[in-house]
Amino acid sequence: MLMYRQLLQPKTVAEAYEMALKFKTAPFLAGGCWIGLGKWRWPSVIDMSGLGLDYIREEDDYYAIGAMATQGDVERFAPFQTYAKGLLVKAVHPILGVQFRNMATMGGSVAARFGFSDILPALLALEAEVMLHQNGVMPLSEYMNFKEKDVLVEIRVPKKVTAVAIHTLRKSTSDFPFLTGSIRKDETGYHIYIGCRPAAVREAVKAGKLLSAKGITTLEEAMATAADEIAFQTNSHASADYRAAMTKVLVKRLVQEVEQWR
Amino acid sequence: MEVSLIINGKKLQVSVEPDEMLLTTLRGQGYFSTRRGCDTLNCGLCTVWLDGKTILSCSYPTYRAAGHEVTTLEGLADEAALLADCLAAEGADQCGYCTTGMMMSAMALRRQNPNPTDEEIKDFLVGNLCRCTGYESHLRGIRRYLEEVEA
Amino acid sequence: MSEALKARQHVGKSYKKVDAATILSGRAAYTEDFVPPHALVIKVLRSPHPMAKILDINATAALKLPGVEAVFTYKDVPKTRFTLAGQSYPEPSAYDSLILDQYVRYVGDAVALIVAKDEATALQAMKVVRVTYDVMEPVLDMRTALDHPTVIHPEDDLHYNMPVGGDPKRNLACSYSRVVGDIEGELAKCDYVVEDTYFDQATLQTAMETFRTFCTLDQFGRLVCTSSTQIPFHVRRHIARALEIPATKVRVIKPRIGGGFGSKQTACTELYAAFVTWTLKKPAVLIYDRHEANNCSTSRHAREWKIRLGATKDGIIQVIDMVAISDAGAYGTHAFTTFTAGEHKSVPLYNKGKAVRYESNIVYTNHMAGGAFRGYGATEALWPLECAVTKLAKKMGVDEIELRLKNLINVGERSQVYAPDEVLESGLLKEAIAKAKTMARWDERPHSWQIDETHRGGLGVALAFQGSGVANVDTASVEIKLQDDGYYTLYTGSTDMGTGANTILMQMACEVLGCPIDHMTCYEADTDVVPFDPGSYASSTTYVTGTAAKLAAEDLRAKLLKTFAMYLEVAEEDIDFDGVTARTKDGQKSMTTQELAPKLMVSFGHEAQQLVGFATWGSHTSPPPFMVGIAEVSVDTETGQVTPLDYYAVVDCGTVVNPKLAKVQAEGGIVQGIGMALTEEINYSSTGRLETNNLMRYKIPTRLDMGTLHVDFVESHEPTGAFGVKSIGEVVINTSCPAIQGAILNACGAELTTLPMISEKVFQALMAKE
Repeated sequence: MLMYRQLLQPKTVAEAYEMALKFKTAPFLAGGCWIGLGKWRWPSVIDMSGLGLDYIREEDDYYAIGAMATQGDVERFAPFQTYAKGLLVKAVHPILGVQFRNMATMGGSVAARFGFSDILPALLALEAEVMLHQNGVMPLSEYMNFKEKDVLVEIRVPKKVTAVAIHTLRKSTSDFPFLTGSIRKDETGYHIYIGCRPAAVREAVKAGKLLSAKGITTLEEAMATAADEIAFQTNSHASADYRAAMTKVLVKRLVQEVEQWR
Repeated sequence: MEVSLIINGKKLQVSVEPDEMLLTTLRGQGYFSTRRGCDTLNCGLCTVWLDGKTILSCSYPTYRAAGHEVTTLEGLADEAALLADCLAAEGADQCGYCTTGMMMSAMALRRQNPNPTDEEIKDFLVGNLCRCTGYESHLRGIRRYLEEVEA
Repeated sequence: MSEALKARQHVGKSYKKVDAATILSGRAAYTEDFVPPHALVIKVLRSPHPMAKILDINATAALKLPGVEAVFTYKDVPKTRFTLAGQSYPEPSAYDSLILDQYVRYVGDAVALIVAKDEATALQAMKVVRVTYDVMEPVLDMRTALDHPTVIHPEDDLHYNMPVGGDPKRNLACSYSRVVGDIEGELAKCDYVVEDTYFDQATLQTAMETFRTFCTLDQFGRLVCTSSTQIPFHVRRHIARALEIPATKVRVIKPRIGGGFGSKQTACTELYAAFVTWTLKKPAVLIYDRHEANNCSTSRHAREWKIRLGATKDGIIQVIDMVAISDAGAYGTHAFTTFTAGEHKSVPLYNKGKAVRYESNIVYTNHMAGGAFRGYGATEALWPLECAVTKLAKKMGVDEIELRLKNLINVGERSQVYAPDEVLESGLLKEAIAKAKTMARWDERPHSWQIDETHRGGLGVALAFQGSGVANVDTASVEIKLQDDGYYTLYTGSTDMGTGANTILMQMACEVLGCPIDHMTCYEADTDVVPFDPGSYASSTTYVTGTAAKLAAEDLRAKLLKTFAMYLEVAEEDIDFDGVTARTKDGQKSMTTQELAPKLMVSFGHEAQQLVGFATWGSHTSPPPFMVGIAEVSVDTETGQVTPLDYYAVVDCGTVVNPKLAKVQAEGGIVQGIGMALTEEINYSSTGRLETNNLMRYKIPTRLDMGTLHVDFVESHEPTGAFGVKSIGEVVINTSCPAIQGAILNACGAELTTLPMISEKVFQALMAKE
């Protein structure tokens, strides 16, 4: 149940940032979908709904997804139906249900950097960037390890895409995934991302390098390499061994799909 | 907080705690079609429309509804009665507890996509759980409704 | 179908449910909609430990908070033990419960009742109640519960109404064993023997409406309990016993409820609310959230089955040997009867053999208590039995339906586990199987095939029985009054939990009276007003209450004819009566019930009286409905993911009173079974906490998890039931698990023996195969 005692309502992003520094334990209230789980009553929350961040805009070289744009907004945004062969739509679509996606925000999903995120692997494949209030624009891959407190304002996905694909595994519809994967093939070669390990998504660098150097005839070896180089753990949704085994399957399917990209 | 709401077209001024959720406010106003079925955003029983889009009222702070149009089943009376009748004709109204929330999704779908396939119907309604019917009768009832509402 | 059947006016018609408009409108209909304003709110403080003794509860700080009315502990409640199980008295369930106990026996067990002016205050107060526990070593595995050093029920006043093989000092809640014939001797003579161990989970009914009760005092100072319950009369009895007051001081009302599936056949919130209101003399309400509903109620029983089947070369199953260890959880409730019911509804399917063993120790553990869940033991017993029969067919190299047909019980035959004078009285079992085979094209295609590069398809089959009511126990009374406006009211204590039972009863009563359906109103489930009925469980309402309704209607019809004859001054034989108008056969005179009824309100003596039809009925038998389920699945052979594609089901529930509603029952049950088979996991942490206690973790099927359902019926005629009815409420959940298991086996050779059959388990089974 979403519960909080004090609702802090900044009028600007800068003010939100100041509040975050001042009220050190106050979370940002974006969609409220995550921080509402459990029985904890937050002493304070910082309301992000009054900052005009619920936009999706087409810029010259990228699409700008405001932090408060919902997953549903992304799903319905006309250019995203065809952008990257609909990759972003495909990424958000399995998340729970229509009502949930009309409330859960892109900013909330990205800033939390959850292991189970369906969205982060897709954004990494697209080489997305984030714009932070204090620290400016940085690649999402860098943001994944960024520890400082800041306000995520916007997510940017470049209009120019090369071949990308996403594949996720879950036990039943509307469940969290137990393994996620994405891939990008560009002029630098193959980049494979494995997430929900259950930890956050990271690149299977060795596997990618192998494929880039020696081509898809090394697919079997690349599958095994990915399963080997990534760290997995057991949790309620899958065992570490199963995740490793399924990583091989994901890598195969991702490579097969991206090879079909036209 | 003083919040100005528009519920089913009617203006309403309420005094709420900052963390009062829309479901509580709506039930407090007598809109019993909205119900609580879980506390993890999974069941869809509390589905209402915010500016015509389906949301989960159990997790939507009432203060955020200010300036938006909130629609419950009670505000869609005639169409809801038709859909209800079509569902009843298929026996899809079992315990009824999930049905009102599901109806909000079905009526929202029609506005977005007046001729959905079975897969599209199931997909749009996936966030509305049901334990009684096994879902098939929902589909039959909604099919009837889509035909009859056009006529 | 005979001409007489074709001529039926109401039975066999797909009427809409009579409560449709109300429940789909948003008007007040469910318990929470009727809570009096200013009712005190109750919250339950719960144990964080799986097994502990409460040493001290300090509520001083809580009581100081403004708006806190009371904090009740084990010290404040009456000391009479009871069972919460909804069964007719004398219940076969242990009286092992107190309203609040000094021992807590599972994580979530009730410690104290916090009563405050609103929910926020109650939750606030709960945070500052200080409890000191003597934490004991918990019993977290049913396999090690027997004779565990921790005795979960050490109390001396635990009471049994009858022997159920219990020995609480050993943590044995109850036990059952039946052995017929010489198991080992007959097995030795068998040409084929299969043996395996199967496990089923303590799955959760997960009705969409959680448990909730509010209580008030009426103008006579009596306790009035409005609750989401399946068992109003049993609840009244439980409350009276627990509060040590006469039952006449208690009234229980059930409004519309949001599902039950057996979860509300065991009292949950009622006793707490009753105690609070009776003590404080103020209205109070208790509503469980989803966590509490999943964690602090009662579930199916987890069981581990060791099964052996032996067959001779002629294809006859000679030995059925089923030995289980079952998890009763913290309290006994339905532990005994679910196990015995399971025997009666599984083993009789195959009645041609020589030896049967069916036994279980059912042990107390520090898990949430098992209770009643649709299927009530039959679902659990059919899981190992049907899987083993399929396994046997594979070993013998025969079609798994052919093997079943060879061994299937026929009408008129007995079973080794039936009572001495009990036979299968009716059933179109072979016809149902033939129909299902046709629907699934079983004989026309392979049962295992390649779908694409990474998927294989498979067909699997399972059969199931259930029962109709509890033989020699379930007794229903129905009253039908002619009201002063000439319309009828039917009064029943059965409980429509969405199934349409109210509608069905009226269809049956109006069939007899002859009137249109809208000339009758049904009023149910108010213990002050309606005659006794056990409530809706055990698939009893259509068969037991329905037959009582038919008899009550016949009683009233006879009285009406007699009365009309008097007023029309003709002999009864000269009257035609269609439920509304009585006409003399010569067409000269007529009178409607609307004209008659007011006259009866001003007549007295022997001339006339207000007309009431009444009947009480129970049965010496529990005629089994029968179901065939054929599952068609796709298995991703790389990941183990199982996707249901189609499910073909044929049900023989005797005469079908309302085909549309019967179909929805079947569809609902099949999908609940799919959940049990594929998606619903029960996981306890190593410290005994139920982790799958919300809808995020406990995944009931969504509408994208079930494929397409194809349901049809064959209508046998059950001679003991009104219009030939049996029942349908429970059998419909029983085939999904073994049918899907068989389909997976056929699809890819992976043999699953535990539930649910999630992708990782299927993957492991695939790896094990290689």
